[in-house]
Amino acid sequence: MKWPAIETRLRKMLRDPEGTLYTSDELMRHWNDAQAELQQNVRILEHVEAHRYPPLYDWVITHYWEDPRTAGDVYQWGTEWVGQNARVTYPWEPGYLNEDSSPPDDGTRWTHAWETLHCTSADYVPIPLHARFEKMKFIAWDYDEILPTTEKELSIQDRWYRSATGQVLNYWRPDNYHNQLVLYPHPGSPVIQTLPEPYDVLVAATGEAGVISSDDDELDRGDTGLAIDILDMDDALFVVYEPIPVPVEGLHSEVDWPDWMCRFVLYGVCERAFGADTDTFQPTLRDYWGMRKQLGVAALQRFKRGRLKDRQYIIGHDSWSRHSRSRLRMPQGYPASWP
Amino acid sequence: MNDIERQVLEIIGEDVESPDVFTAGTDAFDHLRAAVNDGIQELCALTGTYTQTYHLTMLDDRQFYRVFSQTDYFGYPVEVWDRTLHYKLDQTALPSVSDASGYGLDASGPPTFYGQLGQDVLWFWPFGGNGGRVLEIRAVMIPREYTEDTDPLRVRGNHLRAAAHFAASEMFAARGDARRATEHIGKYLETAGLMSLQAQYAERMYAQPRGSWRWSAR
Repeated sequence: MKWPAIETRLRKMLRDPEGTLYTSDELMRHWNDAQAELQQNVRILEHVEAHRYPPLYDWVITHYWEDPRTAGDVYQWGTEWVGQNARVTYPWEPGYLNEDSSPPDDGTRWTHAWETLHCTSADYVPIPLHARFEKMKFIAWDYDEILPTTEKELSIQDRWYRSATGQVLNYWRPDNYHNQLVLYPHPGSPVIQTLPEPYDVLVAATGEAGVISSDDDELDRGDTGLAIDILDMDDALFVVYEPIPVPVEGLHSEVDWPDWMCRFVLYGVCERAFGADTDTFQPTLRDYWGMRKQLGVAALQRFKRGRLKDRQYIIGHDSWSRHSRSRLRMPQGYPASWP
Repeated sequence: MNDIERQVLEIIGEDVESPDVFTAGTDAFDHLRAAVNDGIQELCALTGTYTQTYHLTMLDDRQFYRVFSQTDYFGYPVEVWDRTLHYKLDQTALPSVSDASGYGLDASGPPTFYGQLGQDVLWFWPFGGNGGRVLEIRAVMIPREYTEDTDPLRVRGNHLRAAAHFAASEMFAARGDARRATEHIGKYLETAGLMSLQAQYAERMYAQPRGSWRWSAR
């Protein structure tokens, strides 16, 4: 749903259909705040994506100040030599200026991530996560689940963890700010995936193979009406995560929530708008919409529990032994028997 | 104007035969209809009373499917039936399959397990070599918004009346009457049997009068 439709509805709820009391910017700020609160309370949004390896960055930059002048996924190569406010490729470079020697090194430095296919990388290969990544729910590499760990733990188990290659077992994240993850060990022989054009997704619906998608809503799904946009896990990183809801920034913005869930965010917006300490302050309506917001959280939590309605929990027993196929029987009346 | 909309107008004191504000096609009427739609959608989402059958044709070597309905919003599956082999698939979680199978998520054969990710992604395991297999998914749906007077309403019985109270609550709130708006949201919860959503109902204690616990009977 686009923002203008939401704003029209919202203004009716706020008793301001002409737009004389609240500005659009004010309502957008309330919306962004309210949707973050709802997602934190309910955690109902989940994204499913496949990422290829080695990762594809849109930009590779040298200096941090170049970052605001780029867009998309950005990788800053090399290491910051803070002593000289310079960027170095190899760690021996700072010492080289002081001593006339040829220090050994432990591998190849790369500029673009795909170069690691053709060299022995001296360091780990960070994989960018989605800009709206918030919390990991499940992750697998080439069909196998991999488990989270920390750099500290890895360094205790394997002192060569930064450059080890082999079957991927774990992943770790260098920090939260850079929004990256690192595989341990690096995939031994990765295969480059080809990203599809949007029309390839339509082709896939007819049975053609080879689709990997990392974006939602690339096409009008109403045209086909059935299962499309298929994710491929071959030699790829499969990620299920909770996203940060996309912030509304203008009239063109499309919100992250399914249409029927938008009003749960609207309740939070109304609570904030009526509760602001301005001429529009109305405590009774603030409390009413606050109560509706709480009811909405309870309602969505109940809806979320409903997803497990078909699931059977068995405590203290191996549920795996209860296999559907054990219930297979021959059709009733087979083989035919004559009286 | 349908029955629920008439009932809402009666509750808020409008003339049903010739309303002065809520005439068809006006912004006020659109707001009323949107509120009724909200009520219906919430009731269907919470109670799971409206289900539809979704036929999913599997493709070769595909594990994940994004489902989409032209007429409804997809809620969650309550039964997945393999039309080819005549059995029900069990619902589980991805880590369970990955841990227990010994083969990760990669396996060939007819699917025996399924799960849901996010709002509209379903996965199946095993999944290899299933091109053309048809799965019959009975799923709780949230109906899309009705737009015409004659469009079918996907709730029945008490839920119709509950949806009217839901919409009436929003109409009173739009008039600035928070007290009556609160009153009707309470009626909505009671009529729909959803009192457990409201904390003061859920936390109320009932007990048999017995010894020193007599005080808690109220």
